[in-house]
Amino acid sequence: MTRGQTYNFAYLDEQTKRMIRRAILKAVAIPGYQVPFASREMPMPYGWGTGGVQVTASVLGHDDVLKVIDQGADDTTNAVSIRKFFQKTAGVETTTETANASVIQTRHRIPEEELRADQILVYQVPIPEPLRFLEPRETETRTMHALEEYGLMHVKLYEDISRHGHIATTYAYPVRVNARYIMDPSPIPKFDNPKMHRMAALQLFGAGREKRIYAIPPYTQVHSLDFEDHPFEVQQWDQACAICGAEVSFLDEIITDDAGGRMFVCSDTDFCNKRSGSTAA
Amino acid sequence: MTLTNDLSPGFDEPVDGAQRTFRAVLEALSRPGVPVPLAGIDSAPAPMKPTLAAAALSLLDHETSVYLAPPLAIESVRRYIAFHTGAPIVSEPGEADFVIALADRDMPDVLQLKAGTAEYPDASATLLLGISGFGTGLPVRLSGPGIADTREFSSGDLTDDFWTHARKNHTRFPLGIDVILCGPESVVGLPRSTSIAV
Amino acid sequence: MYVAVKGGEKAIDTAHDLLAKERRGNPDIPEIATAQIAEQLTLAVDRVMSEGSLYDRGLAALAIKQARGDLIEAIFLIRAYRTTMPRFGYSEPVETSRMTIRRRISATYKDLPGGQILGPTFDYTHRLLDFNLETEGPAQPEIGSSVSRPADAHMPRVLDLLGKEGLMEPPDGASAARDNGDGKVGDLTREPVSFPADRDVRLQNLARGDEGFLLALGYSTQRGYGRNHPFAGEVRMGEVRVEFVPEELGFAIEISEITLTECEMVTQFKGSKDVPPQFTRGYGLAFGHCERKTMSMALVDRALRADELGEERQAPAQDEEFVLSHSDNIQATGFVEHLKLPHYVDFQSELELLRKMRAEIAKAHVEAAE
Repeated sequence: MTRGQTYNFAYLDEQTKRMIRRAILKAVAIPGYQVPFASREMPMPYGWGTGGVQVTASVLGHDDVLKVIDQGADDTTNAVSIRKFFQKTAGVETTTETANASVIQTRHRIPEEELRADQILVYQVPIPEPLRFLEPRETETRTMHALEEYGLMHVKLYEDISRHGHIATTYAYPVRVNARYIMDPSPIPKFDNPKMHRMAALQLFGAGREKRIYAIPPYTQVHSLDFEDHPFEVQQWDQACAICGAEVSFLDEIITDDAGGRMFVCSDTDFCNKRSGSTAA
Repeated sequence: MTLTNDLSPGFDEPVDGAQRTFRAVLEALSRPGVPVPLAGIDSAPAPMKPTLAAAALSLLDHETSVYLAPPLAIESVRRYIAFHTGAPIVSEPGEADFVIALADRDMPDVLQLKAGTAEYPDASATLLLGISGFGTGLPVRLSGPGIADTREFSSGDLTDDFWTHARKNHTRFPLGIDVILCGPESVVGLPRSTSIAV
Repeated sequence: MYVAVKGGEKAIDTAHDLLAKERRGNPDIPEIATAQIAEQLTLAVDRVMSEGSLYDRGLAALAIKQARGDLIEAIFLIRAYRTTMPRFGYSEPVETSRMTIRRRISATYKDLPGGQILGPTFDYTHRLLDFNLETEGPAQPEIGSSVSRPADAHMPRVLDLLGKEGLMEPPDGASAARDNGDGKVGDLTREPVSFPADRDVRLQNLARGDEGFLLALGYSTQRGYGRNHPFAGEVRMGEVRVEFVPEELGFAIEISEITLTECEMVTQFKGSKDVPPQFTRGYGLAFGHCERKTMSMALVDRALRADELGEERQAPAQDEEFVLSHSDNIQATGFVEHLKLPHYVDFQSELELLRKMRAEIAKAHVEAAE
């Protein structure tokens, strides 16, 4: 019994790619709207980026250079695993350098370096529905989007303010795209939200388990929800990166001992490597 | 189905051809009004234009219905589309997921095509429109997602009627249809999100 | 000095090596053969085929071996393999009334045409560990020729007998709820589910659904959370022929024979002053010998028909969106287990906010004290 087989370029069969490509085109035409698609079962678990992987597989061609990051880093285990998957199934060139990539697949971060018009950023999305935590039913949230009934979301954010003095959402912070759809930006820290606004690169979002694809075309307005008396603000650190000295990047906290010792370093490893002059990961 | 001698071939390299075409169409819809170079399928039966054939072959299959507008609703084109895509051909433009037409002849009414529903605006038609060229005729000014500021665009094939309909198409956003203009060597996207000023 | 965490690739390779070693266990013990799994762990194989949605005993056995006996992991392997398979088309509907029966029981009639056939069942075993199995196991029991003979070919389904008397609703239920009205049967692996879902898609979802999840939901209906007063009208298990119509032939040919378990529940009657009351149905079907699964499935199928039968939806088992969205163990295990992937960027964001809020409160206290 030999059942060895060779897979199609980038693993997915052509029919599946066409189906996903059609969904991507509709997503681009209706910025921020979640297009249902017939997500396939991938050879990696749901939650590991099956949506992002399917979008990347449908977009990728021989000329592309792929970068994969998780938590901003190229060498986190899942980023390594997904990069290997595409090296094996598509044979594409990969890179850790943001500037050299034509397609960047990410989980939880947007690179610090400004992206260009000739790049595509693919996000892995766990829960695409920004209203899900207010209303678990798809039948309800779909109607809310259809009627542009977003009062509930503002009420939730305002309740935070009255209870905590702050909007207590620090990641997956909801945005309004092109003044129409409220969208979940995936669990990026709200630090990254401003980068989405009028970004030159095309942004694609894939949620495999939830079977949704959505997009933000280049130069699209992306507004993080806020209130006049409580404007949107991003995280700040008192420290600079302990490795490269950056004061403008998102920092990871590293516990160095059990006596309260800690240090802060850039989460974007390529950004940090470039600044500190060390060789790429 | 058997491949008879008079049936023209599709992409030279199906996997690559479909991917390159998709990327051009994606780029076009992401940057409305910008012609994106695309190598078409030269052997497509007339009056199918090479880029129109490439767009159709890269996006259609048995899961998508297609309407062929009159100049294209001929046996050679029907057989070409049926053989290479397997897409069911429908006789009513309002039922089709994809509508293939030529801008200069018997163009279907944009506003009669499937525009989706408030809950599922994606359940809407895509119009693949063959066009003889860009840069001629009166320019329109485009703005919206995919456009940094505003962008001028013109094509002599597109009538005032077309632009009137396209503007109406935009005003019903998020409902609407999306248009891929397929020129001699490039494609241009006009998604429903694009605002059009004359 | 902090050293940036690198070498993810090496860590992964090492993890895979360790996994292979663990899978093999003590090399002094002979390696288990997939044929042994296929022949001797048949119910595990059946579950993997059912929830993996792929009828292939050999592949299911291989998946169980590779997954070190973790059946959800094995189902995952099968699903991921299945998704790459080319599709030639859909088979003709299988005819379970013409099943070659190996087991058939009805809880609603003492005797009926074709009789009750106990078949291979744990039902009346005493659950005492059989220490003989620790060694070679007992000799194969002799099966009398009257028993090994296939059961009576004519074995009408119990619910059809009730139907002839007008006491049972038609198989399709009250309405055209069976399909989308276009006569085509849905396939949730090719089209995302939208709500409300049709019964065909619901049944497909349940057939692929996690046995434990369905068991708990079915059980909850018995305890009053969406009670529908069920009787096991019939449970049957045996072999059915699978037929396919190749386009170039234009007529059906037999391509395979597969083992199925089918359960039809007879549930509380419905009617009105215009329509005479009839029993209603719940349906369960699975690959192989899966009685617990099909009985649970039938209970949940019936509960999910609440809207169609004019019942108020109150219980979890009646809640279509809840049941269908959470039944798939591959989706569920993925999302639960993904919590072990790094989340330190989001966690850092929470830390920053928490510290800021605590600092503000501390400052306010100090100012108040001054």
